[in-house]
Amino acid sequence: MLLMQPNLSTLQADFRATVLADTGADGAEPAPPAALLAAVNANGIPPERRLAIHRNHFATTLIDALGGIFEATRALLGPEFFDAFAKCYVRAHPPSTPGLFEYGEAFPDALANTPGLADHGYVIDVARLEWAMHESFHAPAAPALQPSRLTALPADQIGDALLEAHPTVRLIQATFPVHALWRGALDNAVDGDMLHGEPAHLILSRPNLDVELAPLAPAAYAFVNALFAGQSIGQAAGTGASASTTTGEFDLGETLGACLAQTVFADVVNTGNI
Amino acid sequence: MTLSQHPAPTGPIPAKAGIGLRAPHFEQIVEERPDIPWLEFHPENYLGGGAPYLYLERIRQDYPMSMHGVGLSLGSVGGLDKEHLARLADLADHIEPGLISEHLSFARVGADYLNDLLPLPYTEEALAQVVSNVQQAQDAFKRPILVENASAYMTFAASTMPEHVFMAEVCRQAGCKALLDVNNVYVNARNHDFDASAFIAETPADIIGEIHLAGHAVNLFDDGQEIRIDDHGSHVDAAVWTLFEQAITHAGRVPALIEWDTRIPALEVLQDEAARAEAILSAHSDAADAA
Ligand SMILES: [Fe+2]
Repeated sequence: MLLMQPNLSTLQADFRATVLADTGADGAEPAPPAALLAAVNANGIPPERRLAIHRNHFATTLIDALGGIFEATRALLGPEFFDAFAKCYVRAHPPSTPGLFEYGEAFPDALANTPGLADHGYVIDVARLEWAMHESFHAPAAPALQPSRLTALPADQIGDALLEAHPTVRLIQATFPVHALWRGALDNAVDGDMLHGEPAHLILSRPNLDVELAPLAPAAYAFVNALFAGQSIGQAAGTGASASTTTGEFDLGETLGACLAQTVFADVVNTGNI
Repeated sequence: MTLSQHPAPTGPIPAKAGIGLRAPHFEQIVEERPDIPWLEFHPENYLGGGAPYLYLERIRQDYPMSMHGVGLSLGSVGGLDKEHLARLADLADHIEPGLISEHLSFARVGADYLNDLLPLPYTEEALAQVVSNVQQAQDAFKRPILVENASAYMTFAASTMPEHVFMAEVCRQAGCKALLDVNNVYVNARNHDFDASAFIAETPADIIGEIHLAGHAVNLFDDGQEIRIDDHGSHVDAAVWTLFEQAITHAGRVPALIEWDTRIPALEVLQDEAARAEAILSAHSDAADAA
């Protein structure tokens, strides 16, 4: 008997369904669509087994990719828990581009939305830091703003100027001392005191090939954050000053100088000339 | 670390044995400039323009390079992902690879990428779709590409032609060349009980523009059933070296490449494997010179 064979569109849709189907609660492998099973020649090995090779390939390669990006997160959660969580994640969030470096953006949020991890906020903080570092590593290279571009502005126009973020810059605000936790997780040296440390404000950037990570004072963080949200230098200085916890914590010249010495800004826009 | 800049070598990929460029070898290749005739890179890893791209751009200055896609999904119904294709074309404009190649398989279904080289049925419908997709790619790259025979862990009841006929037809109709992966030929021949040597003999010699060599794994199911998996994680199999000699005798001297993607060893191991391929290429050209 000649069976109707699925057309290419149906065959590919059935492959997708097979690869992305959830494993049953009891760990049982889901059955592929009947039309796909009928389309595959057995030739000594059941079609289910042949298709399972691709199900497994999808899961293991993407779990590995996530494990590479979220290395400290994996160490904190334990490899077994991480891999099991990632296995569900990859099927619920398949890649939307073939560039695997872009894959995993929603992973920290998926961890944060897991009820069982509600009292593991520090892990979520570390996951967000790792994603930010990963993004910074892959962000396009660009020259950093030269300080002379800023000092060349007429003094009465500097306050109205806008500063554009360098493509590799990421700001991190965390409830936990995430820098120490991240380092500790990678060195297998996390201790309980780290969970009671100060909240962290960090800035990441990539001057060339390597991502650099530096702490910021809360007021300086508020200032840079305001600049990146589109506030002028003058407005952002106000935001920084009002975020100061101690009088005189925020010094505009000092903070700007420190930022210009790192790769924080890509460009300055003199709104006085627009 | 910073990377110094100087002008890139121009011209085509030489008919010598190259190796795949992998991130663990970036720094060594930049610092030591080892004697490797050409390198192949997977464009998907460099599309962000970040640190990996800076290495690629720098290494390109010292080596001819071939761009070997793994995610264009030449078999997808409804055409190629235009956004991805545009990013690839942009990368090719910057890196100026000597060759551009992709697989005869699919990975994208609708908006989802299944991160694999999934098998196609060898039907007239699939042929027409692949030909149209290859033409779309060639329009974007403004040059012919090479299409590679993929490994497969299943065959389809709907197939109406053997794989090598499908590949040759794609080349004839789309005006592209073939990247003959002799490891994939061997893996498929073992998995699907056909004659690997006949596959090569029956592939038109004039379409073969490049050859891939890689290692594969032999997986055994609980009941003793065997399936060979193209994992690019070991040395080239002895039977695959024999097929390589046959392919070179058949097609003449063309660029050959050692692929090693999982359990990536020291660069020197890849260079040794490439030296073995080079010896076979040279033996062939000596024989051709003597004739
Ligand atoms: Fe290959």
